[in-house]
Amino acid sequence: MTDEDQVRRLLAEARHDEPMPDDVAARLDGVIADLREDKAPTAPVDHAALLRRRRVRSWVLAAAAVVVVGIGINQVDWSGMSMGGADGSGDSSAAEADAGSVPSTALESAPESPADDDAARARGELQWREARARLGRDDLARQAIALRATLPGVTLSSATAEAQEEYDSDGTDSGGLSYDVRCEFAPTGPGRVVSVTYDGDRGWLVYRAPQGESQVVDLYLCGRSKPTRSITLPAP
Amino acid sequence: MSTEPTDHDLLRAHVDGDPDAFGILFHRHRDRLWAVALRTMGNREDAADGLQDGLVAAYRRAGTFRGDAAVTTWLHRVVVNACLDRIRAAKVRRTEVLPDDLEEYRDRGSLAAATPAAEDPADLSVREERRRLVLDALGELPAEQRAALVLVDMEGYPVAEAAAMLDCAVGTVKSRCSRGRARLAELLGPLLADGSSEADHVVPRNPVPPAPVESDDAPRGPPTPA
Repeated sequence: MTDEDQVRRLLAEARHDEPMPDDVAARLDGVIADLREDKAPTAPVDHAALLRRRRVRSWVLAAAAVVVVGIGINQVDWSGMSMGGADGSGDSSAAEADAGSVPSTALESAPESPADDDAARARGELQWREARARLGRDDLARQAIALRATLPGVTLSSATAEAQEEYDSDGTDSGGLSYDVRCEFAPTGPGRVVSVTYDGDRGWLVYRAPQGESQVVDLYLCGRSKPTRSITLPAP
Repeated sequence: MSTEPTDHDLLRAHVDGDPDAFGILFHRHRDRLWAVALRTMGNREDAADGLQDGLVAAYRRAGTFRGDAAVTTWLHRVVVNACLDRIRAAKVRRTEVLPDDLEEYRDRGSLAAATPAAEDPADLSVREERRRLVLDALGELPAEQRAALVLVDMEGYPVAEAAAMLDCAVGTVKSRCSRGRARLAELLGPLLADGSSEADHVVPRNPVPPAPVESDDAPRGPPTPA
């Protein structure tokens, strides 16, 4: 068997013969439904372009962050919704400063500007952006703690979390599935929202305000109106 | 005799205003389109985005379909072009991301079901590792070469049909495939030497994939319809 034959055989072996995943099928069905209703579906995010733009912005914003950090402002207002990865100019510098405490393979630096989210704020919605972290199913609490360590101003205790959305006792969302092509997150109470992928799916971690010695973190996936998982961490 | 509408019927109905026709058409072919997008893009998220781009383009440009090719060929062309456009625009660096389906395979029986029932777990592990190496190497190729190899060597389409899908000459597809295979042979050198002695891992080339729905379109590669 020649090398070329062997290569062809290996390629044939590596063929993908699984059906389209359910979540992708649901997403595309949603796109078709939008098209049918003559609504323009939101273009998929050009992650690389976004990242490039944000890197440029983050250099500028990081300079401002030095000033902010320098005057000791490290509090976060939990009474309002903080946008995922869009926590202002402090993000990039603080995240980089704490990066050593986080598994390097887990986190990505994808700071976002608050300006990006003005429209989303106005609509009361948040568009999923570049994942700040890629999370797996195993030991979500540990991953959430590691991610939290990269966020600025988490050592706070002043705010009070609003009541959480109801969710099933087993922490899974068996209902309320309404696919959202644009993958927007509607605020469900105050907290720090961070764009992530979870087991390959887009979503958000929402860090609720610490309550005493604990802090609740909810995981929302795109298209789900209720948390897919909810975990309790030691307060920062 | 099936009374199901043909692909051409559905596309025509869509152009004529049938609100459901395109969805049915896409549903018929989505698994293969997904496979092509996934292997061309190299990771799940980009594949979904590329496929969505292609889906929207096909939906809106259905009226431009001239009917001189199979509808599936046209659909593949739109999707592959959308993927390639996305790769060019975003300069996706495929080698940074492992194909997601490898993760999916890890704990699922689907791969086992596609392999001999009595396969030793060690053999299965070897197979998975080899698959990962192949996909990593595939990700090293220029996007056009990769797309040609995905269509011809992975999906088993005839070169002429792949050329129609890629909107280029047959000779161009052959050239891309040849150069791509040569590069893969370099990248997979140890694996090739290893593979030559593995009689127990022989897998038929261009396996016939399952066809969700048969089409009455012009003859094409696997899945072997009508």
